[in-house]
Amino acid sequence: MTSSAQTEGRPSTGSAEPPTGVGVGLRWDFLDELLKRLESSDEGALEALPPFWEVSPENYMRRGGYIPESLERVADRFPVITHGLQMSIGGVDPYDDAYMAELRSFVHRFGSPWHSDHLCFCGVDGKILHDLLPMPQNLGAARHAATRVREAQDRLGLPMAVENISFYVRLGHEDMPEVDFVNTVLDEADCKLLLDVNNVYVNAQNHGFDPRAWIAQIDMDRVVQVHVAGHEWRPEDELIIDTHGADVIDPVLDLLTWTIARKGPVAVILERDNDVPSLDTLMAERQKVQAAYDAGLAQREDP
Amino acid sequence: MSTPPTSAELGRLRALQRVVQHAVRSEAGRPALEAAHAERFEGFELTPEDGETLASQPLGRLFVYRKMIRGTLHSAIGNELPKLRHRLGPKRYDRYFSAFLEAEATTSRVLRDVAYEFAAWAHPRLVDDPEVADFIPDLMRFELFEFDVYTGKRVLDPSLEVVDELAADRPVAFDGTVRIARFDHAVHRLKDFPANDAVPAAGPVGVLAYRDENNRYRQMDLTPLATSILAGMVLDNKPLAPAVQEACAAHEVDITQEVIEGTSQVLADLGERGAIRGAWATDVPREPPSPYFRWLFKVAAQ
Repeated sequence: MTSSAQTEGRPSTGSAEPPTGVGVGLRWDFLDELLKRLESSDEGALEALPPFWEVSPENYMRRGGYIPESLERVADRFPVITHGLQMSIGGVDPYDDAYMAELRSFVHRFGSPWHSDHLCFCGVDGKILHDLLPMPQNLGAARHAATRVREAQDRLGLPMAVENISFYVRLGHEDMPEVDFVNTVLDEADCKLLLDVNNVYVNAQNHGFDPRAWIAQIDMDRVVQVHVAGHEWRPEDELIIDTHGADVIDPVLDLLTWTIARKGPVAVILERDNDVPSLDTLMAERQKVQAAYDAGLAQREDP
Repeated sequence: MSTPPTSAELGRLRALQRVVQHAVRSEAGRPALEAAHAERFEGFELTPEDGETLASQPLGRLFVYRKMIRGTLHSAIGNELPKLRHRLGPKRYDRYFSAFLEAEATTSRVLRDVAYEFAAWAHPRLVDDPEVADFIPDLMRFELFEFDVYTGKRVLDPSLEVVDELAADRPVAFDGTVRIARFDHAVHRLKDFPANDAVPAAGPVGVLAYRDENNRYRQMDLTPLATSILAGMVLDNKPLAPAVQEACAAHEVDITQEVIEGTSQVLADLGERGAIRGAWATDVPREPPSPYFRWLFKVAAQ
């Protein structure tokens, strides 16, 4: 595909004004409903939709047919932010050249102001396990991740934002707490942060720390995007698992409000990957997140 | 500029990542992992403090990744191969999945590729499995053949010029969704419902399929000669004339008027259906439309 064809009708990468407010992760489960809304002449049906969407490129790469055609129709009407799943920033295998080339094409095609992926590894020795696996929280691992983020930024030709993940095991000896690990990567790579407040909350519960104290140590100038999602307690594992399969709980919404009061306007995404409800139900959930976001902005104006 | 990690730091990282990968992929399961955990993962070249840290946590902290990842991959494969999963039954399907994960695992960053990787590994094993019906490997390949048509990109390289007129000395520009396959059973005639238990008729069949303008799957049966002619054109980008000549030679038949008219009719029909876009203006190499384009046609080992 030629570069002109890739960007036709859309702003080029990086030129788009970063969106603020509460968007939603685009999922195939409600794609039909969403497209019906887009074709509807009912203004109310459109107003209930979020101001922007987040998409995972891996779900659309090398693919034709209904799904990518639907994404094109959504992107014709809304800004799109890209959020990757399998870059394996913390991996020790070299980056996959074909993947990075396809990713670059995709993010430029949709004019995302940045591309985000997780501060994790996804496999080793050429294997990809399709999950977000934790890195050891030590200086060597942080330097490795930072080097990889810089390489990714060069390859993609736009800023990278790394996301703090939920983790369930401390993978190896630690010489720094998680928040220092994240800050070291941000400083060494000079990159942005996608702050997942649900992940901070889940880790705080599983590993025993104060989520507000964690976020208070983050340089808010680094934060370009925020995630919120639901999680579930798994008694058999004696862990809270970041399933993205339930409604966002009030303590996480409170943490969002607290964060927004410190950050100000930013792009927030509601993620829902499992037990995805109808579009109406999800939009009602988005309104709850919007209320928490607005409360944070109000606190900022009237501390 | 960031400070790069030392080779020792990278080696330490790699060793830890191998522990997680082993915990996820190992067929041995919990008892073997409990033993490794008790021995601080000796044999994984961990530093003593890394081994101690892992051993100091409940094994469940590591095992939770095993459950999540195996669940994700199991579903991803099963969702693309529902007929295979039904025909094998849950226990045999699980055995194949588990063996695949330990022996091969997945290399693609695209989750929908996992079923192809599984199928490429499982196919020869299913062929050799005396407890598996003969048509099952074909059925698995057909499920991915159909999926590949549904998910194929229509236009693979818009920079390559296409002209309207077909000509004997030009490669035909097929729609990017066109796939062609040979099977030893009429698996393409089984009803769509995954739990259908009908046995397909045995005997060689050729199938050409594509996605129509409404994104619906369409297929047509081909004679053995037509399969060879079209395979040359679809898979190898052969121009019309050599595709016909080589196929006729392979089938030991003369290039009769009937062959020429039959080929013309098939191509005209595909053109009307939108499965042919014209002819390539130049004979330049083109990338296959999917990684398993040729594997879908016919598995070499068969």
